[in-house]
Amino acid sequence: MYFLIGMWGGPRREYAAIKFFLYTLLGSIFILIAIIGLYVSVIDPVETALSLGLAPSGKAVTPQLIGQVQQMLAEGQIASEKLVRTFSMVAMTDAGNFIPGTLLSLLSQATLLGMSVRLWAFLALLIGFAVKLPAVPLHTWLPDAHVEAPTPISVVLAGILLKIGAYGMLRTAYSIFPEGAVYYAWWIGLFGLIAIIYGGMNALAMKDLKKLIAYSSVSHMGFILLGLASLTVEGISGSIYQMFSHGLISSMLFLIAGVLYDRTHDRMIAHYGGLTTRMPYFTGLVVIAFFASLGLPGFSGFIAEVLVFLGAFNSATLNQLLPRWMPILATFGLILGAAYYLWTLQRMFFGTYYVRETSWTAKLKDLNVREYIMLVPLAIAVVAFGVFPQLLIDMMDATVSNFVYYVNTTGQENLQIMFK
Amino acid sequence: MQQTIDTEILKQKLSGITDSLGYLMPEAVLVAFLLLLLLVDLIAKRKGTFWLISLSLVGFIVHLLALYQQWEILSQNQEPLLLMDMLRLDGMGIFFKGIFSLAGIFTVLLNIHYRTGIEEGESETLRGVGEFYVILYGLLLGASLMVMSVNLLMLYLSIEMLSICSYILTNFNFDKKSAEAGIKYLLFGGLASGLMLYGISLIYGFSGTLLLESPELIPGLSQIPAIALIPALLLIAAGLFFKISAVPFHIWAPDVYEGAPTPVVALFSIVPKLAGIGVLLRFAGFFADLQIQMASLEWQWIASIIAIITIVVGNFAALSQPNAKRMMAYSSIAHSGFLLIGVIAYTEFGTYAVMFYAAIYLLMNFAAFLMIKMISRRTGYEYIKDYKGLGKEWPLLGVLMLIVMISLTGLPPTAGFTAKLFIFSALWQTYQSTDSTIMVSLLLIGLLNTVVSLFYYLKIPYYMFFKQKEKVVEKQSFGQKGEMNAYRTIKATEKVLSFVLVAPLLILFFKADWLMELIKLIHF
Repeated sequence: MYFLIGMWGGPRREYAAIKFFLYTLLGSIFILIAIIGLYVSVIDPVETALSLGLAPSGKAVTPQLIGQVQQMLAEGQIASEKLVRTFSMVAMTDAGNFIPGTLLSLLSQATLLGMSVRLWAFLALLIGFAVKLPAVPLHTWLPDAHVEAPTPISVVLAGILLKIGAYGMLRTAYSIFPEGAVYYAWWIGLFGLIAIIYGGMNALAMKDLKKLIAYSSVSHMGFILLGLASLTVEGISGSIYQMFSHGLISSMLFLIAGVLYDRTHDRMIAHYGGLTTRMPYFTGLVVIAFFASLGLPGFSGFIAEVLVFLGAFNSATLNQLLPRWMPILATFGLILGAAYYLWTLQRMFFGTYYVRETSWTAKLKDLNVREYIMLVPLAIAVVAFGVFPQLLIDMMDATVSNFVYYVNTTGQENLQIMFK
Repeated sequence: MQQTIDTEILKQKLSGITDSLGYLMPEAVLVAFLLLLLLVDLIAKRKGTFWLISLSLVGFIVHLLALYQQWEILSQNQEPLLLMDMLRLDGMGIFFKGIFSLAGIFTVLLNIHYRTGIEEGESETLRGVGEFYVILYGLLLGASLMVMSVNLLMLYLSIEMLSICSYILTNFNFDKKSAEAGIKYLLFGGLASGLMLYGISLIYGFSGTLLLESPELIPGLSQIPAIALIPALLLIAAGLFFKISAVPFHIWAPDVYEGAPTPVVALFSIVPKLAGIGVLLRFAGFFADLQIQMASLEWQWIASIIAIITIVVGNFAALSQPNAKRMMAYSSIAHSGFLLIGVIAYTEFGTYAVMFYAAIYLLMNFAAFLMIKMISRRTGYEYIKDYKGLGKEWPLLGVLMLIVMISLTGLPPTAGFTAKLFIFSALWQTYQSTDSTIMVSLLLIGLLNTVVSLFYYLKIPYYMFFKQKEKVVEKQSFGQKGEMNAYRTIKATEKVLSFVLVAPLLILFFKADWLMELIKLIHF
């Protein structure tokens, strides 16, 4: 990514590329700290059973045998050189696989500066992935990277890379340290809320179309955080749905910015006006993308945001993690979204035709075949997933229910063990 | 009567020495080839360069074979004490000696292309080509003895042997900068040796013995009040910290790295540093034993502070270095801090981690210096900002440089990452058992400094790939241009050498257990 931005990017590409790399590396370091700690603390029960000679091969290891190994581990019967440490996330989710006495073991009660080491590890993973998400105080690399990156790289960045953040949180931080998810839910929700409002406000003030889209991404990532924090089935489903739908919508938005940039090499909102008259089909697709992004019913963004709000509101009654005022304030984010998108639409596409330089008029032709091939499938997908949400929900429903149940119950249990 | 006892003792001592010699084949090989090289240089005079190079390469290969034989003897014996309890033969020593031997081979190979002391176009009859190899052997002999010493006086002598050879090698560019660096190195080094010798004499005064493993040493020292003992130990440590260029004993490093010939710099960044680390690993055991007797001696605390300062100063000072070799000097200071972490961890796994790091560091640093030299040889530039557009001119060189820099930073998928992971895992384990705040600060500061180091390591590929080459007005006349172009292509031997150095960095990331198993096999 560093090289993609740095070699083919815009005028300030070098600054953006190194900033992007330094930020994400800083996040990775936090993740690495947690990984080192986990590697030192966790055994692989299957491999350990093999090294103890309890089973002839990996296939012969039964759940009973794993239980036996964990029992022996808890009683300290296994010699330290027989322990097989592992990076396996599956092994890490089971508290029985932590070596007793290690810092990250649930029972060790180890603290650092007055806070449990397990909670520190959760925070390290959370902050690490929050950089990649990006969540608000750590987001400043995103507008730079997006503005300087060429169109295809922006699409990859928004469509794939940003999703690693939320995926990593769900897979590592939430699964391995569920008590952290419960303990910090209020703060995660708060930062989600800040991201929604702050991103929206910034987008409203941007003069550059691509920067506007970048800040709208920040705002949308806030919804993901809010949904995760709620720890309800609706909220988590909404977050995952938002990840998917944001991938479609923001790819479309960046392609739209790319279409304009290809023609005139200028992305300033104020330099255009009334583009409908010149590019009617393009405007049609822009309207779909903008409306989908601001969360109009019938588009995938709506489903995602509705689910997030349902989860966040329910959280107050289901698990008392988020207070009601958080989702209430977050709804202002929707209004901001509507404001900046509609205002941009009005300024750039409606009204009397105007471009800053007259020579651009000849260049501003409507979409060509290549651009249709890129934009139309995305538009269809955005509408399809907005009308038939069960396409995705059915697939993830069982997993999410189990996950939410696991995180809530295990998290509460672990917290009780840790603070008893 | 008295006389017969004396002769008895003398006989015992003599037979002890002759018995020990059987265990010291690798060192004997080094001495033999040192003398042989001296002879060849004398006889062959100025035309013997080819013979000198091949002879020194053969010497290192024989040395490696002798090391293997030494390891086989060792695996049948209980780590013997040699030469009247001067030296201890153990797996760690053999591993480090193997690393030194490889470093020697790479130094000679680097030196084939860029013959030290001879500038392009200068006649070869000018300077002491032969002496270079002789002194190289002397330096490696000193380092070999250093990692085996268990007697403080023997340690001092071997450090001096290594140091004096280093001072001479620094001067081998025979220009003003090189001479200045040599004098600086000599003055600082002399001071550090003096301090160390003073510390040794204090220890001898306190305990009446110089043997690190003597049963009298620790009881003797534990009688001494901490306020007198700790300065004495610090003085000894200062000498070793000087060798590994840990802060605040690092000031010589940037000047020496800038002034000395590149093959020599690559050698300096490996051999004296790792020899110092090997001795420190031995001292860690001694300090830990002493701490049982004297709780106030918190050696891990002091060493952690040194390691933190070393990592921070090394990385931050490297940020603003315009010269590639100076930047590598500060980078090597930072790496000393990382190696120290493994010493501080003081577990078996910590020792393995240090050895792993040492082997990877050997590859990374030689590769980096090889490429810096390849560039400066062709363009005459050592400044990073002059690397503009070189990545496009020589894509292969650029990509290899990128891999090395990524590995030095410690990012996957390179072995540099694995090495750092092992070191920090070892530290985490020790933190787990001691629960001291300083260790967790060391862990955090060490890891966060990786971000800082990324900035300056990436500067090199950044200039090579992102910046456009400026149109240089070539000053050569038209006739010479053809020669100039032929000169700018990369030789096949250079390609092979850089592949040999860089490929393991990638392979060992995926197959880290190969090297780890080897280390465990040697160290058992």
